[in-house]
Amino acid sequence: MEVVVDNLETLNIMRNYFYLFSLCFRYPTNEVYEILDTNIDNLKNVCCNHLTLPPIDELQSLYISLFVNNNGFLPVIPYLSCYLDNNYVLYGKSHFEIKKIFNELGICLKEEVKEPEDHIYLILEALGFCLENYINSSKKRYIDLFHKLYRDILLKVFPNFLKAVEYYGKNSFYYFVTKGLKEFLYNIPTKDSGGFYEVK
Amino acid sequence: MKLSRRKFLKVGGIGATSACLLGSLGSFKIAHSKSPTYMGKKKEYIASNCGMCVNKCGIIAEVIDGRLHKINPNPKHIKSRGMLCAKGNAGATIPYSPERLKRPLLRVGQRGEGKWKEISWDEAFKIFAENLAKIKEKYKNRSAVAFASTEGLQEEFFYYIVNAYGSLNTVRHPTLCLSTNIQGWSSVFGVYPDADLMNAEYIIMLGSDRAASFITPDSVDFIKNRPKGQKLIYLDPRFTPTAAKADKWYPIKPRTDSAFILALMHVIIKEDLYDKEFVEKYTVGFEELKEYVKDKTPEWAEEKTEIPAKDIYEIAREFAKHAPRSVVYPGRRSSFYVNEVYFRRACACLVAICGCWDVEGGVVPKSSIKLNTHVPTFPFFELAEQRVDKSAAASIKKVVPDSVMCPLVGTGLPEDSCSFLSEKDGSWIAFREAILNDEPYPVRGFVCFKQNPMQSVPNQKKTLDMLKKMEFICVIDIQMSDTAWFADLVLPHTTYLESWDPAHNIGGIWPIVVFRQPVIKPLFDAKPMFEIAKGVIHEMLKIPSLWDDTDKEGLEEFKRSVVQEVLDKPIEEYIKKQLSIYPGAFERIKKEGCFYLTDKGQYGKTRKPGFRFKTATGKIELYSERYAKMGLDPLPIYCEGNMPKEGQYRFIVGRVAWHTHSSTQNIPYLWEIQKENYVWINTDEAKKLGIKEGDYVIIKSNAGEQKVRAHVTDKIRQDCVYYENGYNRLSPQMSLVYKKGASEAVVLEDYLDTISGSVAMHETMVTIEKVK
Repeated sequence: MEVVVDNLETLNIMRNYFYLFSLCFRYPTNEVYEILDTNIDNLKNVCCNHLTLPPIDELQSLYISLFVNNNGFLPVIPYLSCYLDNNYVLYGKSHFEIKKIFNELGICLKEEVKEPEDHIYLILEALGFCLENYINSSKKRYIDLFHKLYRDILLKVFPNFLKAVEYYGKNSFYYFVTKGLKEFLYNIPTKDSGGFYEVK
Repeated sequence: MKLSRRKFLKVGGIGATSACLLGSLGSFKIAHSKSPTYMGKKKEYIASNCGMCVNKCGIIAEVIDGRLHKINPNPKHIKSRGMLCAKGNAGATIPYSPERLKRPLLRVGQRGEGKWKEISWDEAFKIFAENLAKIKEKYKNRSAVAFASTEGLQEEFFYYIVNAYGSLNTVRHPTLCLSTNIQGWSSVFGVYPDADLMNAEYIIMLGSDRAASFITPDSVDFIKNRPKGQKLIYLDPRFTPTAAKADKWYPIKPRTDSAFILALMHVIIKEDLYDKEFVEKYTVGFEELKEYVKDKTPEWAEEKTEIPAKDIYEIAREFAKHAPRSVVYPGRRSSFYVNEVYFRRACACLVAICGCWDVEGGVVPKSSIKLNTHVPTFPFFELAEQRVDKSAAASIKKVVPDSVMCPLVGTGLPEDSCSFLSEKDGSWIAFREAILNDEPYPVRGFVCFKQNPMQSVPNQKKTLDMLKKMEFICVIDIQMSDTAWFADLVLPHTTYLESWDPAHNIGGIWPIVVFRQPVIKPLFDAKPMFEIAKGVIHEMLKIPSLWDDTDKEGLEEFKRSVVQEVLDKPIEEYIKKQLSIYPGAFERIKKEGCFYLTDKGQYGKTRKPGFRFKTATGKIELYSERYAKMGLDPLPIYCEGNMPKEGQYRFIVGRVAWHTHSSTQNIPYLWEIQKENYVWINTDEAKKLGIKEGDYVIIKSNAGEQKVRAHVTDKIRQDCVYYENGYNRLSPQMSLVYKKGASEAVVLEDYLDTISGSVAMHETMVTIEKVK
């Protein structure tokens, strides 16, 4: 499997979107909320024009009710290894696979980050990090690792994650953002369309 | 929608050249060394102690690359006998539950609406301390904040907050559990003892379902020793796993247990089978007891209990024959009846007259290993009124209605006070009733540590009403319990696998000392109570109004002995100091999980010359001087109780081996065993009511009603129904059992044993109706 990398402009845009989506799935502190607010039009571009950012208090409690206080039998678990391992416990086998990729990237979580590595916002941020480092260093391994996280982790679990958000967060901010993320992820341009990479 | 590259760029208005969006919010840093990532590379085995129930069994955690892989029993742990139950095994998944509490949460919607925001620990400590100050200022009474907690190794640090604040209103779990047991046995022997099931030859158990319920060392000894010829007589309205292992099972008529024990004493005394030497040497009140049981014949008891008189004769003779290796099991069973203390006293008296005390195979006072306990000094506050459940006479009267106490004459029970309230434990039922009635003063703050009164205290509606009265509710727990769901501030506690817990002396026939060490690093942003107490107390110290009714010297001493000496130092130092009497003990527990001075059972210390029992007379009191002085009946009297009327059933409670009260139902491995509870109903009764296995029924009491599926069975008496605790949860975050099955707390009525202050769990009558 070979990854072919396209131009810098595309990479920059993708990096920024990965970072922006990462912030969308992160607990909306004041700082996070501010960035989302500034970039709401950018989000509308990839999500939908109906997307609105609720007031911060509302968004915080919505975030908790969807991703922290998981309701019912099909909760929106933001930890991707739960979907990959088909298990209801954290720090399973896939979590270590993800940690291994982070190790290969030469990164680890800052002490103040209290989430496990497989939280969707950290995966999205790591994808942005891969691209950023590729942009800065042109080292192919960053694109290889991007590919592992993107194809082997995120795309594998995304349908289930999306299903849960659709069920529990219907017509909420997170619903539109997750739909937007879906479009973004599934349509990352390939080389054929003059874009980013292709798989051989 | 397909995004072509052109479109991608077009919609990508975010721009190719915009600066990195994250700024300082980036979550990653450069790793200077590679952390372990491959499963199976680095294996560690770490000794600690289980926290899934109260027993603190020994565990060896198998940790692979920092991830807890499995929990094994600890073969060197003499108390747990190398055993680990289903709950202990399932504990390995608790830290990794996606539903555990992860960060401090502050309520932003209505109570119970589930709207929260995450806050930092600094904010949480500040909110906590400010609310304590606000209530103190408003009501001019520190006892206007109530503190509830349950047994656990970190509980002593919760009491650091309680005592630093100065409220006298604390309430713990015993009055929902075994306080009648403690009170009854202590009134005879001065202490609450253990049973030596490892060496006993003859055992009588009344409702303590030792083969299920909590699996304890007693359970292991009992299972191991049964094949050696130990005889077991088991009485329970249900055919439980213990009944299945018994030599004889009697489905005794509820509320008549005392009659059975009194009749045994009648036979043993009448036939001269008691231990005269022991009675003479160690007891007082034998003649009074003898006189009292004179007419309590097996024939009299047969009428009450429905146990054949000839069997009672046989059991009495066998019990005396095997003495002193005979046991009336004093262990776990919650408190069933409003006059339960007298029943417990009767059990203790039977043991005493047969001399089955403080000998191998008998009932034995607990021994302990002395620790170098830190003695903290807390300020004395002027604005702290007496506890509410001590002086709320009118409220107490409300929870002992005539219908249950009837006939009141001769019950020996006080009607407007609780005779022996433990200073720390209080009485949950009297406590709640007093708060609901604002008697004798308003209580408007509630801080709850790892207790879940919404599920554990009978009459859930009243608990909810109590919570509604509060101006501030803070719950500290590892999961969003039903009580946490109604809180204003929820603080996530670490699991027992992630933090140090102080040393604890586990008393018993084989006393040991344990502590816990973290087997994995704490996940998310949870903190142990030690850290929480430190944070809250430091914030409290910043608020001058919290210290204006105490003297300066006392405050300074508190700062020195509590804040500087304990909280501002690592907890390991505290533990090392606790164990400083025994060089090498800290290292030994760290390596092997427990410390003990000898592995031999400790017998006979109360039989030594000059020993004084902790009773008024210094002897074993068959006739209680203290009770006489308090206006209670000094003898273990029997009185008729409330019985189900036509169309009613007695609702009885029980426990299963795979759950601890209401705390473990949301653990997937345990949930797999039983996904919802069923109400047990006798086959003949079910037939009368047209109920078939699996039918939905409505079970209804004066407290509330629940819809639940029926389990039609011969394993329960016709006049009783039963289901397990812990189902039909109100907290959506207990997702596996949210609105599944039926809750005990909704249906149970809140009756009180007024001697110990304990709830009476088997006094509720219900009706059952098939759902059409």
